[in-house]
Amino acid sequence: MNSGQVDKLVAKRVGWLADCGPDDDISISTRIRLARNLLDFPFPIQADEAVLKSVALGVKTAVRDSGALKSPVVIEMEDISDVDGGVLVERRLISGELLQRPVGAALLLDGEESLSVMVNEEDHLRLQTIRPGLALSEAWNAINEMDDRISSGLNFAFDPFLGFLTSCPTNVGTGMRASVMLHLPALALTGHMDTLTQGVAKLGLAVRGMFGEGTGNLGNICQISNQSTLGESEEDILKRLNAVITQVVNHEKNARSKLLETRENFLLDSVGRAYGTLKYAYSISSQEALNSLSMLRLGVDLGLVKSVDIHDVNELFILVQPAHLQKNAGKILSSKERDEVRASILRSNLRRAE
Amino acid sequence: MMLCEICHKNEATIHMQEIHGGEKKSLNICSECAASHKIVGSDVDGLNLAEMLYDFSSKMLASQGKNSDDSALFPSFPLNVDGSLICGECGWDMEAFRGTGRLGCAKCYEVFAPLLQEAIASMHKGVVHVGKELSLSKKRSGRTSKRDLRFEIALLEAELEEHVRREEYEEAAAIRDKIKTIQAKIKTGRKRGKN
Repeated sequence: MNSGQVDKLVAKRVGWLADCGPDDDISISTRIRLARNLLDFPFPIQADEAVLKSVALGVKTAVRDSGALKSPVVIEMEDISDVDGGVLVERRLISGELLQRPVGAALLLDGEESLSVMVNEEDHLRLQTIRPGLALSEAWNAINEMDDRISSGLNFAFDPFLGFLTSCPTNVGTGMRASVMLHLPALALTGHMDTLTQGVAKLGLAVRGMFGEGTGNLGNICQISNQSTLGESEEDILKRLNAVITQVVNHEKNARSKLLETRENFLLDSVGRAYGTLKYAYSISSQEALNSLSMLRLGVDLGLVKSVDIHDVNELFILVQPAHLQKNAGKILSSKERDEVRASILRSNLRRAE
Repeated sequence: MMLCEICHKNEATIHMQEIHGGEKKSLNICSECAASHKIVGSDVDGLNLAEMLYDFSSKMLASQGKNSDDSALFPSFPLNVDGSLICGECGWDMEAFRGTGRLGCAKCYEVFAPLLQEAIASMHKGVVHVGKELSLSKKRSGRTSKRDLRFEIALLEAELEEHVRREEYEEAAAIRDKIKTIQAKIKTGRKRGKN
């Protein structure tokens, strides 16, 4: 039954990618999460199985009664296969950590994949919202309302000095981490990524890869998020983040026009080669696929490639990930097989998109 | 990394300066040595809430087995067999805290305050929560809001910093005492509210 829920998800487009409009070509998506814990139970790291299970039951009941999620879906981590777990990670609905300690761990998800709650991850509750494009205030309003609703039925650990108490002191206070996923191919092509990373770090914000810490600069996609959660209100954190993101987006725009103006052939060559690789390869690694998709996406954004729709390219960023490949193939694949299946999906999807 | 000048083992995370008759002295130590030596001085970085809490914790350690006036304010927490901190609520101990950097339950924030507060100060923009509160209906009592008291503390802290910057230590100490009183008010208020 649970596996059926993941099947239904895979059959749909990724919610936070589906609606992105023409203005969202640089800011791919916005995510905000809030860490919350129940006052009367030890945090998951120190909780035994019985506690984890009763926390899960309490949270599920409270979330259901609160009406915070529309037509909610419950996925228990104990019940799902590794591939299904991987699919949820790749769609950014859960973290890898949730899969590592599956007892009492669950994902509560609304029908549109935009609001969700992870139960018994690092904290008892991790409320999350993901939206397409740069939408920090919209995301904050949604998650703030969800938090209000859910908190009315639960006794959250809150200290007047330290705010919401979290298992890791790096999250204490607002418990809020807001991040925006950006596609920055022109800054990467012009060798500005390191400067950007250092500059953003100086402003007290973190830069990470597409799938979080340690995932590098794959596909020229990065996430910029707040580091500090204490001593600043949610609104101030979001304002600061928004200002920095807007600047980064402008830098990327400038880099794009400069490339078009001064190095058009280089740009056309990079985009064209990437498109060719994606369309004609019979075996392609995840890294090569993501980097080529990045160039193709740039080509589509700049109007250099007119035959492909941006939504199809966006979707491919997720479909070429290992768990999605195996889910769609219906079996476990070796690394070599994955490279072949990935190439085949790219060929057929791009041909269909044309 | 700067080594602690007492144990020469751990990283020195507390940097203190003291002025004796116009002569400036500095001391760089780790939190453990600070706790075991009960060192609380007119330290420049630390004259903030983190230091207050740290001060609170050294008092807490000192009050173990003693009948100090502070014992009502600073209840003595149980210590592990080796004398290190352990949370009486969930059993989380120093080793677990050091190994993971995480805490075991809400109560751990009080138990591990001595080690936590400076770490929190270094990882965040501030040391006092100024964001969203638990919704009003959830508050345990309607007495003068803790939020007002907290803002007062935040203001006092800024004032205190200014005095320290100008090396007006007498004024700074007076403000530090004021902050302690308000902080105690909040702490006891919370306890009363619970029972």
